[in-house]
Amino acid sequence: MSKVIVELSGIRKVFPGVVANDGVDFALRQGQIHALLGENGAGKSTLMSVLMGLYTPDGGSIRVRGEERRLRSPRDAIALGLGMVHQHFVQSERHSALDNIVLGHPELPLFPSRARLRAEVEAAAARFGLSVELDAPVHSLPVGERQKVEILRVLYHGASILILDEPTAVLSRQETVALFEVLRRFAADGGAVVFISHKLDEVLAIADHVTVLRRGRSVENRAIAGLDAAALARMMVGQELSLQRRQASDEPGPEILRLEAVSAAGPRGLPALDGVSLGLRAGELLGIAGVSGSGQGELAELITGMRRPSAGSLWVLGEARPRTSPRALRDLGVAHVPADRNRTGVAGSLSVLENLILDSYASRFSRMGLLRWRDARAWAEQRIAALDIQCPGPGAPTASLSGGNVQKVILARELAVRRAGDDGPRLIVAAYPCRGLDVGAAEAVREQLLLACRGGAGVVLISEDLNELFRLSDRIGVLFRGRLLGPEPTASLSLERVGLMMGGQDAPAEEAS
Amino acid sequence: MTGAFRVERRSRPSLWAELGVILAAVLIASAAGCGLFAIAGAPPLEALAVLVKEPFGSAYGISETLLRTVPLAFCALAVALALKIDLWNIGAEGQLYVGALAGSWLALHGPAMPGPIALPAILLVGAFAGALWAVVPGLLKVYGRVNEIISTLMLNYVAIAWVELMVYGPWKGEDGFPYTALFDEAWRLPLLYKRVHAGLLLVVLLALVLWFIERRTTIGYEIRVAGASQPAARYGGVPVLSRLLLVMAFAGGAAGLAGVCEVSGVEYRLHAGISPGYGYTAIIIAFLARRHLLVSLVVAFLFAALVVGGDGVQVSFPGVSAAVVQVFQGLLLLLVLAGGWFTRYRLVRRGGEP
Repeated sequence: MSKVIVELSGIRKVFPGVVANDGVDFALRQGQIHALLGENGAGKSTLMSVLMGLYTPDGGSIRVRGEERRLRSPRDAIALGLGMVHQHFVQSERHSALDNIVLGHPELPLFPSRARLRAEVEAAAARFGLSVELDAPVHSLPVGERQKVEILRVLYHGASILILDEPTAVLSRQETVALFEVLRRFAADGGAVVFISHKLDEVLAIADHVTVLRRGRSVENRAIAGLDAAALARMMVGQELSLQRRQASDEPGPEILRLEAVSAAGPRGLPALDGVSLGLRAGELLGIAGVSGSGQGELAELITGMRRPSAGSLWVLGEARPRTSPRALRDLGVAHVPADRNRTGVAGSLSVLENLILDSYASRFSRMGLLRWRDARAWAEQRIAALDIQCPGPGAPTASLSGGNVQKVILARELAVRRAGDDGPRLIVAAYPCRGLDVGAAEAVREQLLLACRGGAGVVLISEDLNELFRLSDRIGVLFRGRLLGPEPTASLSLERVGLMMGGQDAPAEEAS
Repeated sequence: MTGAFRVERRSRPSLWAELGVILAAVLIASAAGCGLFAIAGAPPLEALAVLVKEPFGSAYGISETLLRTVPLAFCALAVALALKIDLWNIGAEGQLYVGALAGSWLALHGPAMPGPIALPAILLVGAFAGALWAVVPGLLKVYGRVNEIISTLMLNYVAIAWVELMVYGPWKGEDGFPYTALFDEAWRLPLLYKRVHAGLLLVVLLALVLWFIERRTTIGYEIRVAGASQPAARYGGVPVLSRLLLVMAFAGGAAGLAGVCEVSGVEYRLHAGISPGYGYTAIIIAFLARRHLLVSLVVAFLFAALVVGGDGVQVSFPGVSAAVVQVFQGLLLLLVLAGGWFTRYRLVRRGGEP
């Protein structure tokens, strides 16, 4: 067996409130294409950032070619032959590919000879079978070409260990095939590749070894041979599924939400949502799974009126609403727990009280232009008690609360959106409501959602946590590249199959939806 | 290489650290000030004593300090108010000049009026002109995504150039100097105490009113939400763009009043050097006051004392130039800024782990 060139053992990295890596072991051998597989938030990027010297680990050791190393900056890592191609590469747009490739090379002379640099870069390109148009300004190149520029840059700078962070996310099928060819050649030439991905088919196609991370721990480390997509999906999502599934609601209420062939424009001209159709009844909880960036944010914004569809029809609470303002929808009883908790959900520098009244100050606490702080405070105290928000008082700055309590502030507000007559939402769109929360806080948040559901509200729950989705949802749909697979009744789905759907590998039999 | 300490983020900014930083900044700046005085050839400690005693030590000193407080406080309100919604109004200086220009136009060319009508009129005209001048960058910001720091700053030069154009040109006085004729009595603000004019009451009143609006009204709440997080404000249905414009109008109005008060309360005429940079000093004041409206008043008073004290030092020790006082102010801000880091982070001794 070829020799181990990178060995990470017991890597631990803690961010405030989150353990990103919790004793991760990882070993990379020469000539290997090693997949690092895991769901979002499993700790893949953190681990590689530790290896690249971007983060200092809180524990564990890094050995490169048998020697223990302390990497203080990416410079140290690059000097050891490590090179990383990030998902969002940083390039100087106006300069040529050649300029970008040679930029930052440690041995670049003050007045370099362009002809010589060019010859060197061309030699490197030829060696790895990368054809790149060197003179074009980078901004004029398609994203696949830009990625090649970035890979060539890393190789030209002498990397023998190449780390690619979800390199295929931006590539077409053909570009992906071409990239794999380059990677194979590089590995055959004595290099080693770390391939970060959550796409199962690609991992199977390119990698010969896989390390699986789950919730910050390395749970599997083995050769790819003999594995299939189903086995990978199982390793990735785990099997600690608690089967205390929620009782499906027996008597579905009236339909309160319907999307028909709805599309939404996304960045880079690609549709963020592509012909999504779904329906939701009162008292029902619909789970939406998918790797992040598959259109979840856009879906939530569409339903809550913060974004308009580019095509298709949308009915909220029985009426066609292609262009309603968030406030108007909220007054109808649409609650929104936004994904971006700390910027959109609350204004951190304001007090808990001020955040609690964010969507009702105008309708509930305003009289002749003055805010009735006394009423607002009394109401806020009630809400704080009702959801058991741990805070020094309504006046405490929201940013000083723990993540779980910030989320409870948002829930306390959203679960009180006003509809005609009494309080309480009729439709709740919750995006990652439990992300980053500790177990107890997450349970409390789920409890609130279920409570609202039992009270007759329809809930759309967007989540990355399959356990959570399986436990809470009546039906589950999966977003993959803006398309919605399903939704299907939870009882008829297996964890494994949802994992496959998330990786874009729905079993052919179910494709006919 | 790695020290025995590591940096840790504080869970919340520490009030004690903040006070400590300000105290340390004052001490270090004073020490550096002593050095500056020594270089300028003045006995450092005596000069420092003058710096402290001049603004408070006599009736004249106190009145001068209060007199200087007025424009500084108006402008500080203009900056602090914009900061409430997270806009940097670097243009208080220009808004002040435009306010002075508009007020002077009314006083010189407006119809003759009795004082009780003339004074509100001149104040309103000046405030309105300042507001217009500040709304321009606001519109550019809202509709053109133009950075307000650049646009407000640039408009300062335009405003000052307008004033110069008028006082060197059509409004030049009969004696040929670049200032206008004296205003008639009706256009002059009443005096309260020695040279201190009614503008002092006006600025305190304005600060209280703005503070009330900020704290008690729906609009004030919306402004604070938009300033704390625009995504959250939009999510809550706050009309963010119209609030941005409103804030800029009020900010410009406050700075415009500073200009009117200088021409109709102090100089009784317009000239090109109507402000020695009040609008820029106000940025420092608003920042040190942590953009609090009422605290801005207090800090403006302290800065006025610094200016008066600096003048005193210049008179007592001819070697010391005006630049020395400005260096001192700059140093103070820089130190408080740099010290802000300590209110958000702290050093923690490393544990046993290497």
